[in-house]
Amino acid sequence: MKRYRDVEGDGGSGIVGQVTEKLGLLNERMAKVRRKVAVMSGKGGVGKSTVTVGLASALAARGLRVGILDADLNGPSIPDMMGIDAAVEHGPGGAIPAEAFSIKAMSMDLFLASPERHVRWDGPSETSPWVSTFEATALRELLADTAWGELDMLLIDLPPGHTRFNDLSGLLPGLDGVVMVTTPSEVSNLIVLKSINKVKESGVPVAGILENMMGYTCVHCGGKNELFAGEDMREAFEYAGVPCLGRVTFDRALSDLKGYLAGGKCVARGIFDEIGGKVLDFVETSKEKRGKGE
Amino acid sequence: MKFLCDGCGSKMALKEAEGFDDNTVTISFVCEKCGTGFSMLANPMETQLVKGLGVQVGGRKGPHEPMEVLKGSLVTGEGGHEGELPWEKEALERLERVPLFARPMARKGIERYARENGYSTITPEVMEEARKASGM
Ligand SMILES: Nc1ncnc2c1ncn2[C@@H]1O[C@H](COP(=O)(O)OP(=O)(O)O)[C@@H](O)[C@H]1O
Ligand SMILES: [Mg+2]
Repeated sequence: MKRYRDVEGDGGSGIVGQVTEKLGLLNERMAKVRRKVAVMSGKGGVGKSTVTVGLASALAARGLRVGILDADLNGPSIPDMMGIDAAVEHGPGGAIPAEAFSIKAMSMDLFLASPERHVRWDGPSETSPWVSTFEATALRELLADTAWGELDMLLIDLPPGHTRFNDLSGLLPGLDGVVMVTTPSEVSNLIVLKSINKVKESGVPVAGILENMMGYTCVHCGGKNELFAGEDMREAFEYAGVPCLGRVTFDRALSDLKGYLAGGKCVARGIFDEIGGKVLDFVETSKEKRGKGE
Repeated sequence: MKFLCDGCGSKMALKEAEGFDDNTVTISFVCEKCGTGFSMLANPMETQLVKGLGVQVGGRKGPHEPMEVLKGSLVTGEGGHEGELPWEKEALERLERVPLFARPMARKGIERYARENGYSTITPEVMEEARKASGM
């Protein structure tokens, strides 16, 4: 009996060719984006989206052309956090990203008729294996079919877990690095350590860890307090081979990102700038290493 | 996937693909050597998998369309609006107590309640009833 590889050509639809063509378009689009960094964590609610916007704003303030891809397809939050309330518009070069505070943003939310709508795919059932195929394709389209133009940095805000990261690293071999976000709780730190190992195995470099919600300053007495009963993880992170990029405290000013973006006073601003600088340095170094084939 | 003609051992050629509109697809193949033909009828699950990849069975017809899958398969919620019910001024004022992002959902819930209970205008009283009915 003949086997698949014994017969030349394909089934007649040129599926491989079609997929290759799509990936070619993605590469063309991404060639104009100098740096691509994903923000992730194994866990939800640790502040990935907040950190993404904080970093984007810090880099934009340095004069860089910055875009955010909200890759949280089922829980998109970037448009709302940035005060974007627009529907996607399609231009000749693809979908036009929304823009606020000099940051370009693309999100599933821009495709939905109203903010409380959820993502639903037209099909026979929602509890099917094909849903993940649609999600992977949606991620490719959001990356490839958005008219980003020239960007110095594209930050990709990932949902919790690893599925979307796997899709992303498959689509973007040129992903420059990952910023891991954790909160100082044992659960979060344990999950972030697992995530680091997984990301490293996939060959994508980890730029470092950002510890979010590291204590808060009491609005009444000015005293600094801890939010979680966590331990100092910096040494442990170093053993795992990833530096701590910085610590962001719990700050009411950050839970209103529109006010923050508009220039509201916030101690985290300096911290995000410092972390942004570290991420830029990291990307340069890892690009050099990659260039040398190390 | 490729198909082989058992009769003469050569690869079957794809003749045509039809369907997708009702979530199924029929793809016919023919053996170019002996003329044997057959059709593959894909169920909605199988059809959906192919659609999800953003590829076209039978080869791509026409140029690449940006956001093809997002435009074609995402249920965006547009066009699905039922006729909106009129709201009294006091009712609208009361709706403003609900945080902005939750307002569309609240509005829809109240209108649904009103419709189901035969009200044609939204008043604060209808809102109160709707709230009680949802056990809040
Ligand atoms: N450093 C911080 N200070 C104050 N609030 C924060 C901070 N980081 C995150 N938050 C708030 O915590 C919630 C979860 O943050 P979010 O960025 O949405 O997390 P994730 O994207 O990881 O799910 C949001 O309401 C956000 O405003
Ligand atoms: Mg998020």
